[in-house]
Amino acid sequence: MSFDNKSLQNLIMGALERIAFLVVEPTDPNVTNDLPPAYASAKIDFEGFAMGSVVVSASEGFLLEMASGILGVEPEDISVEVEGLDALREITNILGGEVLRALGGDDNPSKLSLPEVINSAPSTWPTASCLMDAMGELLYVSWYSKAAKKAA
Amino acid sequence: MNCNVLIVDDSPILRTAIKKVVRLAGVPDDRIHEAGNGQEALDVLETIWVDLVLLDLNMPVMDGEQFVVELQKRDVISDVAVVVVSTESNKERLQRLRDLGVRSSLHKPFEPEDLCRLITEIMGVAS
Repeated sequence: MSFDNKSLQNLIMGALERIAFLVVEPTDPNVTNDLPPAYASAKIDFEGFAMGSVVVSASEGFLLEMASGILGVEPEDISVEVEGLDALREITNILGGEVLRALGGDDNPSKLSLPEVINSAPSTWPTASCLMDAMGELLYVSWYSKAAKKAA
Repeated sequence: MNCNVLIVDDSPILRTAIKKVVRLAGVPDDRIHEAGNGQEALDVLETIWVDLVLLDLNMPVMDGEQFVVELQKRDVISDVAVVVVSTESNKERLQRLRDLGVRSSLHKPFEPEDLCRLITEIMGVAS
């Protein structure tokens, strides 16, 4: 099945709107040099008919917005280290499931790992990736296919 | 709504979000209980009667499927309504869980209205 950056963008937009009532749009990292730094990253692996990982990185402001959307409270009432990182793990879990589903997971057995906060992203190029913007705060999502890594 | 609900999810933020929806469905705060994995859920079930379990699958210590198997072993699966709320979409696994006694499933990410409707349907209360 064809799965590209556009497919990934659509999954992210749908997931964030449903789980956090957060409207995000794809953005081009080359249009500005004034990008907020990533605060944290999280990863989930899957194995079975499809093998790979989804890595999600977010700016601090994005984590606050996402957690406040999930909880229905103001961002000022959120601790980025507690609810923010928990929200990051959960959106990573959800996006891992969504990517797997888009690859054919409904009909093929597979297993997701537990999502974990990581210190650095994989050193290989992602199979698909996109940068999403919510009011100037950024989310970067990458999908790494193990099959694609072998072919590279 | 006069029932006890147990939310089983390893994500505290998701448990809080689901708890809000359960409240919206009419369940009072003191009848909503939480557990972070299947083992904790079994511990809760040892102490209180639960009518509905909202169950994540992908959890540490004891995952949701192991929890359902434990309920079946203890012969209580028919007394407790279990609804799977997870990222799982594999038809074979979901069917296996239904065969074990799970009543229904809801795919994450879900609309809060869908969960609210499912709770009222399962507990036999018109929304």
